[in-house]
Amino acid sequence: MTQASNTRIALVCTGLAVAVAVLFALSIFVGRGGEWLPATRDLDPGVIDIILYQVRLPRALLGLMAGAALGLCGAGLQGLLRNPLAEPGLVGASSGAALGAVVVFYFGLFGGALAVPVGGFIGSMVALALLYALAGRGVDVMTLILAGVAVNAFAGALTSLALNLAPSPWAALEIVFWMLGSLADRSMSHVIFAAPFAVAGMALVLTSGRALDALSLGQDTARSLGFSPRAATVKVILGTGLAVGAVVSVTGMIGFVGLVVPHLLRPVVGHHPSRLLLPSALAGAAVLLAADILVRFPIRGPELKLGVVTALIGAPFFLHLILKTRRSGE
Amino acid sequence: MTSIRATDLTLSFGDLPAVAGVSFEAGPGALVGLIGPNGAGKTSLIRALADLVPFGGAVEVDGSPVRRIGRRAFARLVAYLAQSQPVHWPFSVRDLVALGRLPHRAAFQGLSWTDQAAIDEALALAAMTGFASRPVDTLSGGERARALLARALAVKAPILLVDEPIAALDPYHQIEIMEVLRAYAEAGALVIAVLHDLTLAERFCHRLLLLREGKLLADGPPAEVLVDENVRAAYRVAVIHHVHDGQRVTVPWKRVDDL
Repeated sequence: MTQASNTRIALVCTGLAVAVAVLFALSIFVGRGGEWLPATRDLDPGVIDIILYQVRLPRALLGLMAGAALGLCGAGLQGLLRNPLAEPGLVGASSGAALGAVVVFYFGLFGGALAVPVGGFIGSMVALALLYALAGRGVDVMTLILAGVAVNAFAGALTSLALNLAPSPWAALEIVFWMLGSLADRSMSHVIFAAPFAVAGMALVLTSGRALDALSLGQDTARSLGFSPRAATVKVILGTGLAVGAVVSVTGMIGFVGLVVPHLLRPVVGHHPSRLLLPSALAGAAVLLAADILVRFPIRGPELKLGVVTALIGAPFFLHLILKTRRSGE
Repeated sequence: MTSIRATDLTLSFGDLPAVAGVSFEAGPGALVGLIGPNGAGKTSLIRALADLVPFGGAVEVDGSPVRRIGRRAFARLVAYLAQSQPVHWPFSVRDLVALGRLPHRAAFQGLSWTDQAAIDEALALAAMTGFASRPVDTLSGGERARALLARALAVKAPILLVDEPIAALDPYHQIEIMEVLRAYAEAGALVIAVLHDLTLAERFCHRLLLLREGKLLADGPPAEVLVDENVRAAYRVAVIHHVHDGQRVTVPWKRVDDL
């Protein structure tokens, strides 16, 4: 890591932080159809306050938190697994959260506004425990990936089962809509619920940078450089499970941010996992805030779901990535 | 001045013994070749010395058992270069070499001037200065081997353990790497290298450890270790000797299957 590249990372982070701040402000002041608040309409100042503080602020905060968590954990997992195609969903926290939320919907456990997030978070933690049980004490990358695939498949199967057996079409629709992922209609209590886990999880991933750098030379060399591959694995997986589990439990599934963001940054900050972590968190937040502003401009009909937009943009990018990897592999 | 001592070192994979009671001591300023046929336990032994695998017996660095030395401190004392070392991201050569400074850096700390100097020195020693900004995945086999060696040299550890550093290289690059290892040893370090090329091992090493079936068959200066009897017993190969410029040259010549 040369001095020049340190300066470059500092510049990138500053630029991204400014972008995040601007998008955060836009997220608070731009409404449906691009309506600008408080300027456009003559509203009671009390109503404006409610819109700004109880509707838009939690939405913007969630966008910030979810985007940062997804971007950071994507970069962390790609570093840990030494695979540019890894994404946060791999550890099963997202599909576990979906299952947990579905269980809450299915059994009608509407014990308050936080029932779904709590159910989702419990689901993601169960998925994480299952991953640990399957992958065992080893740190083998392939075992970890296969265990993740198994956990995802199992959680997906149970989610489908719940949909299949849903007592009413309304319940099924509710489940599907939640799974599409959105930041709309979330309250400050959602933010407060998710924040501690998200922050703790992100701290675990953020502090793994040097170990991830060492792991880019394989486990033996990482160990010979003074790092425990096992400790790094536990930190990154647990951190990802906590952070992604917490935000996905509140927002529903939001795909591709964690996969794509680190790739956007590699040409700028380089390939070191440690150099990608903070910029990926910032860029993830910027991307998600921007996408969430974008969904407020529907051409006609209902507001687009955020998860739909990230997937629509992310999937072609993913394809481009695979083709590029294949070309360079030839 | 740092030395390493192995006492009755054993290591097995399940019921299969890989190293069976090896003892030796080696001090600074020497390039020690670890030789022996495939499956003799060379890689297992060097991985045990690097504290990468559980083993029986004792390994001490400067009299302290390796397990009592902290992970970070050990990483600064003993550098290790794996056989067919993977590089999972297309770093520049300089960034790759900089990873060797990780044991010297605290979290979130950039490279100090000491680190930069160590990197420059390692690049120069491995003749890679001109390649510093090249991505690792664009290097040829010989350049890549030198870049990886520079990464290990950048640790500036008093003990360097290298596993088959010259396998898969052409003669020019083999000699080049051996010269670097010998120079690093003669600058005051202890270098232990797993080697297959007996001719180069004899030419460059100060001392050879010959392993057979997990045991030390011979230990001493190359001229004493690479005698026909030892090489036959270990490799089932007969050697011919030749003297060139006053130095003995040993060449494996033919199989000997009727032992």
